Amino acid sequence: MSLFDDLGGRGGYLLLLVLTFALHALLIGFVLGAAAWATVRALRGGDDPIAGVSRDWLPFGLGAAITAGVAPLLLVQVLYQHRMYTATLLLSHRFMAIVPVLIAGFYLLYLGKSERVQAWNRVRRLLVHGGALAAFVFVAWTWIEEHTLASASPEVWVAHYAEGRLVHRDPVIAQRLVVWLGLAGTAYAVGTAWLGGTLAGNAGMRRLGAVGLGGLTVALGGAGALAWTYGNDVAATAGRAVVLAALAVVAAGFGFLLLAGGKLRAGRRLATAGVIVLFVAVSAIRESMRAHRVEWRGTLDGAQGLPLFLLFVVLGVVAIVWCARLVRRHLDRV
Amino acid sequence: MDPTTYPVNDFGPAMRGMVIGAVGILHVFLAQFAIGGGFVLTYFQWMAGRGVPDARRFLDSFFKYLVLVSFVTGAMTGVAMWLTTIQVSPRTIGLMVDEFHWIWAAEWCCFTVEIVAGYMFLRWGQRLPDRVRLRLLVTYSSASFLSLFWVNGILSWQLTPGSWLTSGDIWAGFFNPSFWPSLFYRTAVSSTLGALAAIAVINTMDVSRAERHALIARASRLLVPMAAMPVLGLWYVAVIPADSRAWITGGSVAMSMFLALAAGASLLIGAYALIGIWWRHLYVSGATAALLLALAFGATAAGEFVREGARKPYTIRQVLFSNSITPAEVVRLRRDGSVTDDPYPLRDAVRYPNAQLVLGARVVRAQCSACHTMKGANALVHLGGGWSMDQLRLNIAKLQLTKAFMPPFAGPAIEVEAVAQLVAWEAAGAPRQWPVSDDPAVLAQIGRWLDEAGIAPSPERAVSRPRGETPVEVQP
Repeated sequence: MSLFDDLGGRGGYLLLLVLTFALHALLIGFVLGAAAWATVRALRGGDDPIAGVSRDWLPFGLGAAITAGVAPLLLVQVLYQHRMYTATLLLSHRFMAIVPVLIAGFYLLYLGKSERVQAWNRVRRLLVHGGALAAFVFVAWTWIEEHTLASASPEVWVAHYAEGRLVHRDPVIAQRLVVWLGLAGTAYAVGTAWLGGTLAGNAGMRRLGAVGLGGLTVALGGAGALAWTYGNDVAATAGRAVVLAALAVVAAGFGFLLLAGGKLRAGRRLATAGVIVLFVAVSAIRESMRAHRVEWRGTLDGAQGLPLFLLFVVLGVVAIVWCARLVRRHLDRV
Repeated sequence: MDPTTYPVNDFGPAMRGMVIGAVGILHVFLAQFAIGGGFVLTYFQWMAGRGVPDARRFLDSFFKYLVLVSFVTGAMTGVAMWLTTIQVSPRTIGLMVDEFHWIWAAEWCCFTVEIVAGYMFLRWGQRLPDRVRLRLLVTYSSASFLSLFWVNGILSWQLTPGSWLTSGDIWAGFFNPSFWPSLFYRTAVSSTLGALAAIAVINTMDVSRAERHALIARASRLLVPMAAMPVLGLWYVAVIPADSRAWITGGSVAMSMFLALAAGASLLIGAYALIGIWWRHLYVSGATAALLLALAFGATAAGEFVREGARKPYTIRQVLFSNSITPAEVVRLRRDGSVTDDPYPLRDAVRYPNAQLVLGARVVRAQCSACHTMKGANALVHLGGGWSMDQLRLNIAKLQLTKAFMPPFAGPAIEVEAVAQLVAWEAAGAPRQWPVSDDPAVLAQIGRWLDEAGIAPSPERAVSRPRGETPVEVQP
């Protein structure tokens, strides 16, 4: 029986968790990639259209990513309440540090977007963009660490608490971070291909295609290390999602090759479809493995209010589409 | 592992409640500013459409501040609220999530619309005609108000769960007795904060003093809802439980002072608006606007302190005590001990000279540390360090009778004695030697006091039986 079969109960929560987490990861992946590109640009000096698009969209990207992240944060509390809370408490001050660090990173993005900073020297620009990138990598690391500690045994928790540690060490944390950083490259490449594809020109397209292919390679490297660590667990618990991820890698890879070859429209569409499916599949693998490794919560059948949520999903989508069409129609006229 | 057992963190001289207080007050202030900011934007955009000079120019200036303050720090402190509540009382936030997660999810939909509409306005607003801008801002402010609507129901449920206690119906809990007064009061506060921030921003605009004065006069119209705040405040106080009402209106000096501070600061702002802005048509400088905003922050802080404190001894009235123990669990813990199932050891166990003090420290961590420290804020040593041993034993055993806002002690006589010995040891300067107190006569006396106090909260905080809990037999 698939974990997602019981859609009227816990399977429904799990499916929502996978979908909302994939959306969050896509957006935060774009942010990580854009912050990395802006940092590299600052390091090398000068400017390019892709870096300009990155800086321009970074604050919105982070705002959207944080907003999207609230949903999986809520669903994790529903599904894995005791484990999630315990890990949060054990990591204590260091985990809470993600809040000021994210605020600092957010303001650095706005600062980095300003014209004044573009006139600064290389070192100061590097501090702004590199500072933001470091903040987001720290947050990504910390969330993976929290997830890993939440999945650990009570004996590990007690030892962690007794020693007063604020850091949880586990080899899979680095491996998983490598996967997500690689995937961030793919999200950034497709996102920028849509937002600034016409500005970037053929040279820019080739670079974005290369970034996407590089991201896929890094992610596959991290996935290989994880497969080595987990052994047969991955195939046993998330077989279908692994197959889906493999197909998505192939599709995204072809898309990035087309993009690198200068075929913007076809490459962009294929790469985007592949990357979206890849993020959903990887999120499904992540949650399937967790669901098989740790205990479920008790029944959630008594929860009330689902129709209200579904109604607001529809209203929210309608409102966003309406706003977007309204703005686009008038911008086209301008 | 028992799913109700969590590791407890030590925040040094700050008690855990102070941590949530600091983050909570900042977040409430910024969130209400965001909602009021939406009102300001929509109102000024409507005026811009009617040809009011500089209205559109003000909007574009104000929106940048709103984005920088509210979209960044406001949104992040919202996430911080969740994480901080986990640090302070995981069982409280857990129960809230269990009961209301679909309502929170609906609120997330509203928040998403707010962010998307807001960013569209920020990015393309200057290229759009007034009509389209107004539609975007109506969408933005409606979504932000709906966020308040949903969160307000969940927060007000904590103090006045209403008939949810017996029916379990979340709508009975959501539209609880304090829902509407709380919603209207917060709406008036939001409008006030938006207007004051607008006046501060207008002072930064590069226009003539006369033009600024005209804009300030228009922004000050959004201070009008303040006139309803005294009535709304009285309505709120009237619907909260009688013991909470008595508690904030004289029962506790600290709570009454904070209530007076909140009311006094609000009154000062209202008086300045009425006399200075509307009657005398005074010009409000940036410094004055900043001072009024600081007063409003003080009023928000004091008001939130009162709202949180009025719930004592509960975090969720009649369901969960401040120390995350349910009324029904007190029965079991009196019998089995409150730390018997706690697997987390003390990190500083070696500093205690005997096992009894170690037990006392573990009991304090489990039952007291949500609101007390040993020597820092609201310190046990400062509260009870000067009492005699029998006073300590009696007051701890009859905790809910010692102070009506305290929960009943949830442990057997040996835990009472361990806590009493710990407080006395700390008050004595934590000497290296300390005798174990195991006199059977003393323990028997503590047992009698525990029985006399019973396991229900103070009679002043009389309860009806919460949903899903077995009847509690109260000792005479």
